[in-house]
Amino acid sequence: MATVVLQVRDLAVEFSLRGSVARAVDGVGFDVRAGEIVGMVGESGSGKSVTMLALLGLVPRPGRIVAGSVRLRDIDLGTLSLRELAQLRGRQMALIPSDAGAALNPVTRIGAQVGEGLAAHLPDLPRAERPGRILDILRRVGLPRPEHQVRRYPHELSGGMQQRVAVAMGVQLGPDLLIADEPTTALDVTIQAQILRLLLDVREQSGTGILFVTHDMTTVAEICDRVLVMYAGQIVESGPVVEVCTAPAHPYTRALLDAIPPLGGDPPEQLTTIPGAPPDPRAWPAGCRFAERCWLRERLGNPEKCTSLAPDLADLESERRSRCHFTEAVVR
Amino acid sequence: MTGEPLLSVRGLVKDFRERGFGPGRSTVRAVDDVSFDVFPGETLGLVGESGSGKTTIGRLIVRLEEPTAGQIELRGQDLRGLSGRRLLEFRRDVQMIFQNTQNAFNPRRTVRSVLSDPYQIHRLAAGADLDERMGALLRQVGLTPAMLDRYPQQFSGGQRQRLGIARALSVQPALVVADEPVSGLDVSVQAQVLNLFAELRRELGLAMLFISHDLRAVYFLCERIAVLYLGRLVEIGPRRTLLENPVHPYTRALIGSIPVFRPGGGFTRTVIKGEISDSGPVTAGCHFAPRCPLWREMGQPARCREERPLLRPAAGGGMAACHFAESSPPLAANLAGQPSGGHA
Repeated sequence: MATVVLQVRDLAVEFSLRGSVARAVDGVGFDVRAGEIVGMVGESGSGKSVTMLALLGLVPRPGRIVAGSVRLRDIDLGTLSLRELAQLRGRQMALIPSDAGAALNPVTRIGAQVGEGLAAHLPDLPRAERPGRILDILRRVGLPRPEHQVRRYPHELSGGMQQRVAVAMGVQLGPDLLIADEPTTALDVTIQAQILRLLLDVREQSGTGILFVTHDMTTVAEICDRVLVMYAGQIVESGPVVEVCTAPAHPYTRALLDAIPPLGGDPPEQLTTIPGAPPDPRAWPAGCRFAERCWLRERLGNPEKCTSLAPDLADLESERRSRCHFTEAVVR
Repeated sequence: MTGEPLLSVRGLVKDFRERGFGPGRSTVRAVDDVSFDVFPGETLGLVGESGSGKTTIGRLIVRLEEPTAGQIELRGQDLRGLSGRRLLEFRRDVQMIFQNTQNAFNPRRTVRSVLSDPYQIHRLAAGADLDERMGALLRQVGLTPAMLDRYPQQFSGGQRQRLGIARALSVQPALVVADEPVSGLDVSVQAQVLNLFAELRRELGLAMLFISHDLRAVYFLCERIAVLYLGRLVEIGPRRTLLENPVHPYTRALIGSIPVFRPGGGFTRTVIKGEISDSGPVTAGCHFAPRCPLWREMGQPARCREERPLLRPAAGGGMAACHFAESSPPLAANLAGQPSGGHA
């Protein structure tokens, strides 16, 4: 089995606001191995973005990491100074942002922006070698006519090309871990396919571990090896992507998959929805956090256990885990 | 489709001049000779990527933009040159729902204030009657009358889109133009809003032009689907025909690039090369030719670059604008046997 590049254990992040405390991430733990693409999927407020920021050491105030550990290979990120963390970011772990158009500096030419990473992390690289390195990486991410593009400004590039530049900046120093934050959400569907293919190529060529953060189950099904499903600050299900997508073990995962409008055949009169809204992070419910909205609980006659006892993320067969008291009843 | 169309669009053209001053500015043809009909009670889906002109068409129909050429008729009446009372009446008949719910409402006005506008402008209700009607409207879209005194920012994205729908429905329009109304919403919320659209359409017999880049949403809601590429309509047809037997190479590429579940996993999308912007200067011929796999396969026939393909009837009851539509090989059974939802 490939080496673990990222190890997260019992991570918790809290935000204190006007006297109340919101635990946005509550006991999240997972691994990403070299050459593996792990999908982290969840809806707004599930804690996926805050988890991602915690990995990068970028949780914004008033948020703070209150428990847990994050290890990148053999480095415990919790022991690093801000300066040391900054040196790590971009080199050992890198972020591909969701909206490259907004992430790129609008007044700096593409070549110079890609060069910033080289200058910051490889100060010993002779200046004369930088342009060649920049062209190489832009060529690798499939940017058409890179020698022409380096002189252009971000707004002169299409969204797909901007995203390729962002991928180039992420992978140019060969990081162990790439965190891709909804890298295709803002793109047209044909361009999405191109960027996903590019991420697969990166994984293949460099053996980079990729954490792919998204709200889109279909994209996860497409390129991820394993998936972590987040709900209300916790992982509620994890496992190999094919198994999770074809036979989910948590009622929330099942509901999330069923809410996707089917293609082909006669469309249903109504789509399956999840009633209600996620719970308030300032007051997580006592039992299962999904219980209020759970179709399975209703079907089982509202067992008391669901609202009184918080389920653990229990191990199932073949690397699968589910946070449900009645997992056996989910799988049809 | 039978009967008289509610909305009839013929030869619609919209040119935009590039920013700047003086001569030498080039014009961009955002909408290029587009024709289609929407029948009473029907939902037509308008799909295409960024730059395809779909949003511009929506804005032209509600008269937020003036067309450069072409006709837009509502119940046989030409919309060009409408003004004053006639324009006001038209605005009652055709309403729009916007994509970005953050910007679609004035943040300083309560829901009551926002929703009362259409009633007052069109003199439909006042006083206690107005309150009652606004309350009923909110209930109709799955909100509660108690929300009347809240501000738009106090709502979630899904709730705000329900407000957008309520505002559009307040004047009981015959046609609603919805521009990407469910993009940017979480999957479960998206399903709720799509269900609301389906329900309202059934109950009110509403006709809709549903503009979206999301083929799944369009397939669920729209009986017919029109596909746009660089300002031109390349294919239009009943949803199943279009999805299961697309004829135009672009439609085929678009459908092939939707991710689908495949037990066994693997990369299942067709990746089409290039981008819209690679199509280069607009030529007399087919806009898609430079990226077209069929064009390459057929040895790059000159006709594709020289002669504009016109929409013509295709197998399965649709229409496609491709000189060589008959030469397309049958599509791999990419989408057959899709698992459909429903756990209840």
